[in-house]
Amino acid sequence: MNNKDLRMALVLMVIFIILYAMSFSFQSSGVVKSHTTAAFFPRVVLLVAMFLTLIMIIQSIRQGPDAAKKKMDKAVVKRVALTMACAAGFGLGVVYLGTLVSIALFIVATMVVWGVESKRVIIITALLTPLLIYLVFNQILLVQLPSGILI
Amino acid sequence: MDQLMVGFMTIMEPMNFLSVFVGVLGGMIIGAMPGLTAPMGVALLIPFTYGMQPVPAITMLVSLYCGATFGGSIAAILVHAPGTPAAAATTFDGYPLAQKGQAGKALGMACISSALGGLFSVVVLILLAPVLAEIAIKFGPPEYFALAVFGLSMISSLGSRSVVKNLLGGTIGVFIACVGMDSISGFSRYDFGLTHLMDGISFIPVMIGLFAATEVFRQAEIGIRKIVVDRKISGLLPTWKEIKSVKTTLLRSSLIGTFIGILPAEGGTVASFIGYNEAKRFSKTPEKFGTGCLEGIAGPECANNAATGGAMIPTMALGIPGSGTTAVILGALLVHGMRPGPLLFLQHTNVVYAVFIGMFLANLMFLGLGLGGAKIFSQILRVPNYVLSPIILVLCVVGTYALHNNMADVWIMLVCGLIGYKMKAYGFAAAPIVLGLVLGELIEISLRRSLIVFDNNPFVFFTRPWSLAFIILTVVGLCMPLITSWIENRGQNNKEK
Repeated sequence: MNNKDLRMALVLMVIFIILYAMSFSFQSSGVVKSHTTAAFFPRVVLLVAMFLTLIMIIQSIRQGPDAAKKKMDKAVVKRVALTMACAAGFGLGVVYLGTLVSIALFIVATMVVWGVESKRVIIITALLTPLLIYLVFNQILLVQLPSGILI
Repeated sequence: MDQLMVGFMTIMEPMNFLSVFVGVLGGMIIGAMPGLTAPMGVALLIPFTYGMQPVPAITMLVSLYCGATFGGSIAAILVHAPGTPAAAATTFDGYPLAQKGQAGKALGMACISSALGGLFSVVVLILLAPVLAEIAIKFGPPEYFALAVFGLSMISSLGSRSVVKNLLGGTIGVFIACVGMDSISGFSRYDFGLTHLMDGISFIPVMIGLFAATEVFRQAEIGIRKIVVDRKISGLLPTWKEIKSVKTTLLRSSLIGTFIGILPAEGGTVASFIGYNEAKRFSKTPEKFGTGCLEGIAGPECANNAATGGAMIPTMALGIPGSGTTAVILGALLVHGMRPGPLLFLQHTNVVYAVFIGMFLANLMFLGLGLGGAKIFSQILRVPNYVLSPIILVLCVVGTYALHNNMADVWIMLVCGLIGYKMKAYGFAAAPIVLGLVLGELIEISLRRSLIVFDNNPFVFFTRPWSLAFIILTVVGLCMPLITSWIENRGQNNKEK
């Protein structure tokens, strides 16, 4: 049994069932035929998705254990999770602190998380990237980047 | 012919010419860096084209596609790590030749073969796409539905190895396309009370998230990686005699690449492997393959670039992407207010032919840049991933924001990046999801219109010749992996007996 695939398939199946159930709450004008309602197509797609997930479940049960069953190193998991947290923080920072400051902070944070030791590389990248983004997006492409409370 | 002349004159305008140059240069840089792929490059470039006119915008993206497909061979030859998946087969002979001290010759052969394959496929594109569009203009909703389903069914061979996972990915993509206002009844679906979702989910944030943000998270998994390029670009360029010796391989790979490219959802990677295998099969000296022979470089490189023009044929003429990258280009066409398909040839003739000529020029341009600047491009490999990855994520965020000046798109992009990363860990590829997303609306509209027009008769899809043909092709396409694995298993059993 391939537990990894089975777990994923079961999660997907639950999501598809919930989404299918949600389609009954869509509005419709009442006099129209079934295929013209808003729910018709998503239901067809979800039924196909559920059928494919069922095949995936059967396949994962029939399969032998996952050959590439290697666990990720804790340090790696931590680095990926922190990079994702930095990305989310960057998104929030853009709104509250402003784009350019957030870019610099994000670059410093990510490089520190990744274990970059050269302070010179970190500082140069953190200074040059916002400058280039400002020049290209603000000055050339005329995109008004969010400024937040800072810049 | 007149339209081609108009296209030529349009491309020769300074802004358009510059777009081709920037696209090719950017593509070669992106292609040369292992981990950065052509669809990712095109997705990241789209935000830079928002404010541009359609001709320079689309030609820049298409040129990047051509440049990146060739650029992948630089890393494949110099450091034995393909810059793009399409260059994987180039490592087999490109790297051994570089090890013999003939990196210049290997790069030269890759560049010439890529350019010739690309130019051949653009000629086929120019000849075939308008003919295909003329046929497709007679298509009604049932034909479009069957064609789009056929395109989607072909994703069974895209990205990951599992047919079921690919099809499931495609179905998820189609489902994402359902989010928002239903275009026929006008009622909202799966908006979760969020105003932003009422307009549906834009392609671009999903594409940037799945192709680019996912890659950054994957690089985080790898951690600090420095590529050491200890090989000097030495060795003379291939001689005229050497180029002539691979002319049959070039012709064969051009045909193979263009044909594979035309098949919906097939792409450069499949083309390059078939190109390599066929070059070996027809070679007078197959034993030399894998030791650094020029045919082993010419075969895959010519085929993967020939697939670029081939993949553009169904994209432009039918609105069905021929590869993951063309799915992103299709999204870009929509951003610029053009719907790919037969009507594109009537409504935006000038843009279409300018893009064709632009693509032709892009292939010539990377020939010059590749032969002249191989040494410079090899230096790009020295940029470490810990500098590149945060910058890519910054571009993802800023570029996505620039689409509608809306932070909601940025959150969608980041969530898609996260989902893409998790799904990749479970063996799902991004390309089928993107293809499903791009084709979702077409499938829904044509299905429902068919049922409305033909009084709810589901058999309409089986009574019209083109529609029936596409349905048969879909069934064959879906059964093919099963048949292949059955034949393989039978062969193995016979061997064991």
